[in-house]
Amino acid sequence: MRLPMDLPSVLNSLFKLETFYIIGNLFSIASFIISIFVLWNIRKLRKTYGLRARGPALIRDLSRSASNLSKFLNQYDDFLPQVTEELARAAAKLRSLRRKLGGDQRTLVKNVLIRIDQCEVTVQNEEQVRLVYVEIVKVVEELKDYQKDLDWEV
Amino acid sequence: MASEKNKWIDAVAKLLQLTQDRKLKWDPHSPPAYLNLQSDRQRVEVVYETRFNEKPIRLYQTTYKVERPRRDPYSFTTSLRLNQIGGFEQPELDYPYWAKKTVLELLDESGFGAWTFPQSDVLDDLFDAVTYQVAGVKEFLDEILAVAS
Repeated sequence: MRLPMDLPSVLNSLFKLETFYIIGNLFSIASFIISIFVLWNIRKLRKTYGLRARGPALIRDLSRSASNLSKFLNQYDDFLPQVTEELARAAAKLRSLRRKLGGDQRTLVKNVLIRIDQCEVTVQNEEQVRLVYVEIVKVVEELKDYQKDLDWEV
Repeated sequence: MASEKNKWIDAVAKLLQLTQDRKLKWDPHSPPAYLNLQSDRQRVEVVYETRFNEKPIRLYQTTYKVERPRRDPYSFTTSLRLNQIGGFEQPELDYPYWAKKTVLELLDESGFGAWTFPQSDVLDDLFDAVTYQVAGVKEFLDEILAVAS
Protein backbone atom coordinates (compact mmCIF):
# COMPACT_ATOMS: atom_id res chain seq x y z
CA MET A 1 0.00 0.00 0.00
CA ARG A 2 1.26 3.47 -0.85
CA LEU A 3 0.74 6.50 1.30
CA PRO A 4 -0.66 9.60 -0.45
CA MET A 5 2.40 11.57 0.74
CA ASP A 6 5.77 10.25 1.82
CA LEU A 7 7.48 11.36 5.06
CA PRO A 8 9.95 13.93 3.62
CA SER A 9 7.19 15.77 1.77
CA VAL A 10 5.04 15.81 4.95
CA LEU A 11 7.96 17.23 6.93
CA ASN A 12 8.66 19.74 4.21
CA SER A 13 5.10 20.99 4.26
CA LEU A 14 5.15 21.17 8.10
CA PHE A 15 8.40 23.09 8.47
CA LYS A 16 7.37 25.89 6.18
CA LEU A 17 7.78 29.45 7.37
CA GLU A 18 3.98 29.98 7.46
CA THR A 19 3.54 27.08 9.89
CA PHE A 20 5.99 28.73 12.29
CA TYR A 21 4.12 32.00 11.93
CA ILE A 22 0.88 30.28 12.85
CA ILE A 23 2.45 28.46 15.81
CA GLY A 24 4.12 31.68 16.94
CA ASN A 25 0.86 33.58 16.75
CA LEU A 26 -0.96 30.87 18.69
CA PHE A 27 1.69 30.98 21.44
CA SER A 28 1.50 34.80 21.59
CA ILE A 29 -2.27 34.67 22.00
CA ALA A 30 -1.97 31.93 24.63
CA SER A 31 0.69 33.85 26.58
CA PHE A 32 -1.42 37.02 26.38
CA ILE A 33 -4.38 35.13 27.88
CA ILE A 34 -2.14 33.62 30.57
CA SER A 35 -0.68 37.08 31.38
CA ILE A 36 -4.19 38.50 31.80
CA PHE A 37 -5.11 35.56 34.05
CA VAL A 38 -1.94 36.01 36.14
CA LEU A 39 -2.51 39.77 36.41
CA TRP A 40 -6.10 39.21 37.49
CA ASN A 41 -4.93 36.71 40.11
CA ILE A 42 -2.20 39.02 41.41
CA ARG A 43 -4.74 41.83 41.76
CA LYS A 44 -7.09 39.52 43.63
CA LEU A 45 -4.26 38.32 45.90
CA ARG A 46 -3.13 41.89 46.59
CA LYS A 47 -6.65 42.85 47.61
CA THR A 48 -7.07 39.72 49.73
CA TYR A 49 -3.80 40.27 51.59
CA GLY A 50 -4.48 43.98 51.94
CA LEU A 51 -7.81 43.16 53.53
CA ARG A 52 -6.30 40.42 55.67
CA ALA A 53 -3.61 42.74 56.99
CA ARG A 54 -5.62 45.95 57.47
CA GLY A 55 -9.18 44.62 57.44
CA PRO A 56 -9.61 43.74 61.14
CA ALA A 57 -8.40 47.17 62.33
CA LEU A 58 -10.54 49.02 59.76
CA ILE A 59 -13.63 46.99 60.61
CA ARG A 60 -12.99 47.61 64.33
CA ASP A 61 -12.70 51.37 63.72
CA LEU A 62 -15.84 51.35 61.60
CA SER A 63 -17.71 49.47 64.30
CA ARG A 64 -16.51 52.06 66.86
CA SER A 65 -17.76 54.87 64.60
CA ALA A 66 -21.19 53.22 64.36
CA SER A 67 -21.26 52.82 68.12
CA ASN A 68 -20.37 56.51 68.62
CA LEU A 69 -23.07 57.54 66.14
CA SER A 70 -25.57 55.51 68.14
CA LYS A 71 -24.47 57.27 71.34
CA PHE A 72 -24.89 60.69 69.71
CA LEU A 73 -28.37 59.66 68.56
CA ASN A 74 -29.39 59.51 72.25
CA GLN A 75 -29.42 63.30 72.13
CA TYR A 76 -29.12 64.02 68.43
CA ASP A 77 -29.91 67.76 68.59
CA ASP A 78 -27.06 68.41 71.04
CA PHE A 79 -24.42 66.50 69.10
CA LEU A 80 -24.74 67.70 65.51
CA PRO A 81 -21.03 68.66 65.06
CA GLN A 82 -19.93 65.37 66.58
CA VAL A 83 -22.25 63.45 64.24
CA THR A 84 -20.73 65.24 61.24
CA GLU A 85 -17.23 64.39 62.47
CA GLU A 86 -18.08 60.76 63.08
CA LEU A 87 -19.66 60.38 59.64
CA ALA A 88 -16.49 61.80 58.05
CA ARG A 89 -14.40 59.34 60.07
CA ALA A 90 -16.61 56.43 59.00
CA ALA A 91 -16.43 57.56 55.35
CA ALA A 92 -12.62 57.58 55.48
CA LYS A 93 -12.56 54.02 56.82
CA LEU A 94 -15.09 52.91 54.21
CA ARG A 95 -13.03 54.45 51.39
CA SER A 96 -9.98 52.58 52.61
CA LEU A 97 -11.96 49.34 52.77
CA ARG A 98 -13.45 49.89 49.29
CA ARG A 99 -9.97 49.79 47.74
CA LYS A 100 -9.37 46.37 49.29
CA LEU A 101 -12.69 44.81 48.32
CA GLY A 102 -14.27 43.42 45.20
CA GLY A 103 -17.67 42.11 44.13
CA ASP A 104 -20.73 42.41 46.35
CA GLN A 105 -18.85 43.77 49.35
CA ARG A 106 -17.38 46.60 47.29
CA THR A 107 -20.85 47.53 45.99
CA LEU A 108 -22.22 47.47 49.52
CA VAL A 109 -19.47 49.79 50.79
CA LYS A 110 -19.94 52.07 47.76
CA ASN A 111 -23.66 52.38 48.47
CA VAL A 112 -23.05 53.37 52.10
CA LEU A 113 -20.49 55.96 50.96
CA ILE A 114 -23.09 57.45 48.61
CA ARG A 115 -25.59 57.57 51.49
CA ILE A 116 -23.04 59.33 53.72
CA ASP A 117 -22.22 61.85 50.98
CA GLN A 118 -25.92 62.62 50.53
CA CYS A 119 -26.61 62.82 54.26
CA GLU A 120 -26.94 66.36 55.52
CA VAL A 121 -26.55 66.60 59.28
CA THR A 122 -29.31 68.97 60.36
CA VAL A 123 -31.84 68.94 63.19
CA GLN A 124 -34.57 67.82 60.77
CA ASN A 125 -32.46 65.04 59.32
CA GLU A 126 -32.21 62.64 62.26
CA GLU A 127 -34.02 59.90 60.36
CA GLN A 128 -31.47 59.97 57.54
CA VAL A 129 -28.53 59.85 59.97
CA ARG A 130 -30.19 56.89 61.64
CA LEU A 131 -30.50 55.12 58.27
CA VAL A 132 -26.80 55.70 57.62
CA TYR A 133 -26.00 54.29 61.07
CA VAL A 134 -28.00 51.12 60.33
CA GLU A 135 -26.28 50.76 56.93
CA ILE A 136 -22.85 51.03 58.57
CA VAL A 137 -23.82 48.34 61.10
CA LYS A 138 -24.92 46.08 58.23
CA VAL A 139 -21.64 46.63 56.37
CA VAL A 140 -19.67 45.84 59.54
CA GLU A 141 -21.57 42.56 59.98
CA GLU A 142 -21.14 41.65 56.31
CA LEU A 143 -17.41 42.38 56.41
CA LYS A 144 -16.94 40.41 59.61
CA ASP A 145 -18.48 37.38 57.90
CA TYR A 146 -16.38 37.97 54.78
CA GLN A 147 -13.24 38.21 56.93
CA LYS A 148 -14.08 34.83 58.50
CA ASP A 149 -14.45 33.31 55.02
CA LEU A 150 -11.09 34.79 54.01
CA ASP A 151 -9.35 32.92 56.84
CA TRP A 152 -10.05 29.69 54.97
CA GLU A 153 -8.97 30.92 51.54
CA VAL A 154 -5.45 30.22 50.36
CA MET B 1 -28.26 34.76 54.61
CA ALA B 2 -27.17 38.41 54.56
CA SER B 3 -30.74 39.66 54.06
CA GLU B 4 -31.95 37.43 56.92
CA LYS B 5 -29.31 38.93 59.23
CA ASN B 6 -30.19 42.42 57.99
CA LYS B 7 -33.81 41.83 59.01
CA TRP B 8 -32.67 41.21 62.60
CA ILE B 9 -30.44 44.28 62.50
CA ASP B 10 -33.39 46.37 61.27
CA ALA B 11 -35.59 45.00 64.06
CA VAL B 12 -33.06 45.77 66.81
CA ALA B 13 -32.34 49.19 65.25
CA LYS B 14 -36.07 49.91 65.51
CA LEU B 15 -36.02 49.00 69.23
CA LEU B 16 -32.96 51.24 69.58
CA GLN B 17 -34.79 54.15 67.94
CA LEU B 18 -37.88 53.66 70.13
CA THR B 19 -35.62 53.55 73.22
CA GLN B 20 -33.74 56.69 72.21
CA ASP B 21 -37.03 58.47 71.42
CA ARG B 22 -38.26 57.47 74.94
CA LYS B 23 -41.17 55.55 73.40
CA LEU B 24 -39.96 52.29 74.88
CA LYS B 25 -39.31 52.31 78.64
CA TRP B 26 -36.96 49.74 80.12
CA ASP B 27 -36.87 48.69 83.77
CA PRO B 28 -33.88 47.22 85.59
CA HIS B 29 -34.36 43.90 87.43
CA SER B 30 -32.26 41.38 89.28
CA PRO B 31 -31.26 38.59 86.93
CA PRO B 32 -33.22 35.35 87.24
CA ALA B 33 -31.29 32.68 89.15
CA TYR B 34 -30.82 30.42 86.13
CA LEU B 35 -28.62 33.03 84.43
CA ASN B 36 -26.06 32.82 87.24
CA LEU B 37 -26.08 29.09 87.86
CA GLN B 38 -22.44 28.78 86.76
CA SER B 39 -21.15 32.02 88.23
CA ASP B 40 -17.53 30.87 87.88
CA ARG B 41 -18.02 30.76 84.10
CA GLN B 42 -20.77 33.27 83.37
CA ARG B 43 -22.16 36.25 85.27
CA VAL B 44 -25.07 38.62 84.75
CA GLU B 45 -25.30 41.66 87.04
CA VAL B 46 -28.59 43.20 85.94
CA VAL B 47 -31.25 42.61 83.31
CA TYR B 48 -33.49 45.21 81.64
CA GLU B 49 -37.03 44.37 80.66
CA THR B 50 -39.73 46.00 78.61
CA ARG B 51 -42.81 45.07 76.59
CA PHE B 52 -43.17 45.63 72.88
CA ASN B 53 -46.71 45.01 71.56
CA GLU B 54 -47.46 43.11 74.80
CA LYS B 55 -44.47 40.85 74.19
CA PRO B 56 -41.97 40.81 77.07
CA ILE B 57 -38.33 41.40 76.07
CA ARG B 58 -35.21 41.06 78.20
CA LEU B 59 -31.81 42.61 77.56
CA TYR B 60 -28.65 41.94 79.51
CA GLN B 61 -24.91 41.82 79.24
CA THR B 62 -23.26 38.59 80.25
CA THR B 63 -19.61 38.32 81.24
CA TYR B 64 -18.28 34.88 80.37
CA LYS B 65 -15.02 33.04 80.69
CA VAL B 66 -13.22 32.06 77.48
CA GLU B 67 -11.07 28.97 77.85
CA ARG B 68 -8.20 28.02 75.56
CA PRO B 69 -9.68 26.14 72.58
CA ARG B 70 -8.77 22.47 72.40
CA ARG B 71 -6.29 21.71 69.63
CA ASP B 72 -6.49 18.51 67.69
CA PRO B 73 -2.99 17.95 66.22
CA TYR B 74 -4.34 15.43 63.71
CA SER B 75 -6.98 17.70 62.27
CA PHE B 76 -5.94 19.22 58.95
CA THR B 77 -8.32 22.14 59.30
CA THR B 78 -7.14 22.91 62.85
CA SER B 79 -3.50 23.03 61.84
CA LEU B 80 -4.40 25.07 58.76
CA ARG B 81 -6.31 27.53 60.92
CA LEU B 82 -3.56 27.78 63.53
CA ASN B 83 -0.84 28.38 60.98
CA GLN B 84 -2.92 31.20 59.49
CA ILE B 85 -1.95 31.04 55.84
CA GLY B 86 -0.78 34.44 54.78
CA GLY B 87 1.19 35.08 57.93
CA PHE B 88 -1.26 37.48 59.57
CA GLU B 89 -1.54 35.67 62.86
CA GLN B 90 -3.63 37.07 65.64
CA PRO B 91 -1.60 37.82 68.77
CA GLU B 92 -1.68 34.96 71.25
CA LEU B 93 -4.26 35.58 73.96
CA ASP B 94 -3.78 34.88 77.65
CA TYR B 95 -6.30 32.19 78.49
CA PRO B 96 -8.64 32.10 80.24
CA TYR B 97 -9.99 35.60 79.80
CA TRP B 98 -13.35 37.24 80.41
CA ALA B 99 -15.43 38.60 77.52
CA LYS B 100 -18.76 40.39 77.30
CA LYS B 101 -21.76 39.59 75.17
CA THR B 102 -25.10 41.39 74.93
CA VAL B 103 -28.16 39.18 74.83
CA LEU B 104 -31.65 40.20 73.76
CA GLU B 105 -34.38 37.65 74.23
CA LEU B 106 -38.10 37.28 73.83
CA LEU B 107 -39.59 35.86 77.01
CA ASP B 108 -42.30 33.28 77.45
CA GLU B 109 -45.12 33.65 79.98
CA SER B 110 -43.05 32.16 82.81
CA GLY B 111 -40.23 34.64 82.22
CA PHE B 112 -37.77 32.28 80.58
CA GLY B 113 -35.87 33.26 77.46
CA ALA B 114 -37.85 31.71 74.61
CA TRP B 115 -35.90 33.16 71.71
CA THR B 116 -32.51 34.83 71.56
CA PHE B 117 -31.76 37.44 68.89
CA PRO B 118 -28.69 36.76 66.71
CA GLN B 119 -25.48 38.50 67.78
CA SER B 120 -24.59 41.81 66.15
CA ASP B 121 -23.00 45.13 67.14
CA VAL B 122 -26.41 46.82 67.20
CA LEU B 123 -27.24 44.84 70.37
CA ASP B 124 -24.35 46.54 72.21
CA ASP B 125 -25.65 49.91 71.00
CA LEU B 126 -29.13 49.04 72.24
CA PHE B 127 -27.65 48.09 75.63
CA ASP B 128 -25.83 51.46 75.78
CA ALA B 129 -29.06 53.29 74.91
CA VAL B 130 -30.99 51.38 77.58
CA THR B 131 -28.43 52.13 80.32
CA TYR B 132 -28.39 55.76 79.11
CA GLN B 133 -32.17 55.88 79.57
CA VAL B 134 -32.32 53.99 82.88
CA ALA B 135 -29.46 55.97 84.42
CA GLY B 136 -31.18 59.21 83.36
CA VAL B 137 -28.07 60.56 81.63
CA LYS B 138 -30.06 62.98 79.45
CA GLU B 139 -31.77 64.59 82.44
CA PHE B 140 -28.46 64.69 84.30
CA LEU B 141 -26.74 66.45 81.39
CA ASP B 142 -29.62 68.93 81.09
CA GLU B 143 -29.41 69.69 84.84
CA ILE B 144 -25.66 70.26 84.70
CA LEU B 145 -25.96 72.52 81.65
CA ALA B 146 -28.82 74.46 83.29
CA VAL B 147 -26.65 75.12 86.37
CA ALA B 148 -23.65 76.03 84.24
CA SER B 149 -25.63 78.60 82.26
